[in-house]
Amino acid sequence: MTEAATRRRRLSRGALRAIAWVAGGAAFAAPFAGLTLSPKPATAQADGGGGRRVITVKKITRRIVVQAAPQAPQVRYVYVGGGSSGSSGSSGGGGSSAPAAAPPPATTTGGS
Amino acid sequence: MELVRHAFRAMGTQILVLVDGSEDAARLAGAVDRVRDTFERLERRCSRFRADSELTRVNRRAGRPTRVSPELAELVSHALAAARRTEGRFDPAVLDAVVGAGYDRDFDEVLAGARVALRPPRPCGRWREVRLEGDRLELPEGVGLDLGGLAKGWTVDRAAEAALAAGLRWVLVNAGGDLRLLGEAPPEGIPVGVEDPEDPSAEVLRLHLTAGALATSSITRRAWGPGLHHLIDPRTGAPAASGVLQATVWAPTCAEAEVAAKDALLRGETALGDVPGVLVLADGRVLTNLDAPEGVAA
Repeated sequence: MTEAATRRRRLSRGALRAIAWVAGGAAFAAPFAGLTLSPKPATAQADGGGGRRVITVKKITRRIVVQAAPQAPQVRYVYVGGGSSGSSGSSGGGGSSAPAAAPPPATTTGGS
Repeated sequence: MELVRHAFRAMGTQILVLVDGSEDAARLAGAVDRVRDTFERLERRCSRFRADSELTRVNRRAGRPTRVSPELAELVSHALAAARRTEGRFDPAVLDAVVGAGYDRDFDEVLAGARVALRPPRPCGRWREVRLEGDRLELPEGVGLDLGGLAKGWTVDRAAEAALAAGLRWVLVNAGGDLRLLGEAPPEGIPVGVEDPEDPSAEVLRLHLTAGALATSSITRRAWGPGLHHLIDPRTGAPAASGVLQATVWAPTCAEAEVAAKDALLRGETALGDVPGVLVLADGRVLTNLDAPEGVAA
């Protein structure tokens, strides 16, 4: 009786082989899983240090809005940039578009 | 129209003298010499970065009366009048606030040192305590004058007058973007590009100037960190943050344009109700109340 019960509880050779494959696979994968799940070391970028620079390309869109003129000074404008123009107030009208290849100005409001 | 340019450096910026190409070479050379002499003379008087300047001497003697030259007295008088006119939005006594924000030396050195704010801001407004009687100037203790852009505009006006007196038909003097056109300029005007404050290689508008002056105040130039720049709002004592990146203003003289440009930068869009010019806003809009040239389709 005891001998028979013991014999019934023994697993088949195929089942043993399957268990062995599963156990071996788990043992193989365990180190990789540990590496994947473990917390990452802090990077220079996260620390705010001088690591790799992140380049952000910023596109500037300008919109010209013409308002009512308080007086008529000795200065007029010509629109030379890209983008769009519109108007409000009583002066009416947006700027006028210069030729595509407008010559450079005599001077600029920029400084150095 | 052929133009002749002559450039040199003074007051920490580039000075450009622009005249008609047909001018006599000797007359042009004489005019350029006068412009250079004017800048050198007024820099010795008005620079807060020069230890030997007249203004530095006045600032060191705060609390005691100092005898000053008629030229500096006239400039300080002009600055105090501008402070009254703008109700203190233009304040020549912001030296402490400018230094506190990190602009405590020549700008090239400020950039090299990557400054941060040194002190928490304090409201200004002590220009009301400055006493000027004839050639006697007295600052209250703890107050220093920073004539900065106004001194530059003032010098541009004096330099343009000196150049024209050399016999030129017309002359344009441009000191780092603050410029004055004097004399009988060509009727079509002199083309002046308004630089994009975020892309100096681009123009937002081009102006055709036949007389008068243009001055530009920008918070993207002379800036040394996020929110750190040389344009102090006297109401807070901190660098201005009005939503205006750049204000370019026309006025009969460069000194007036300087004051109006700074005032417009602090006031924002409402300034265009009474000042002719161009505002570039942080939201991308460019506001102007100038007219397009006659005969050009709007």
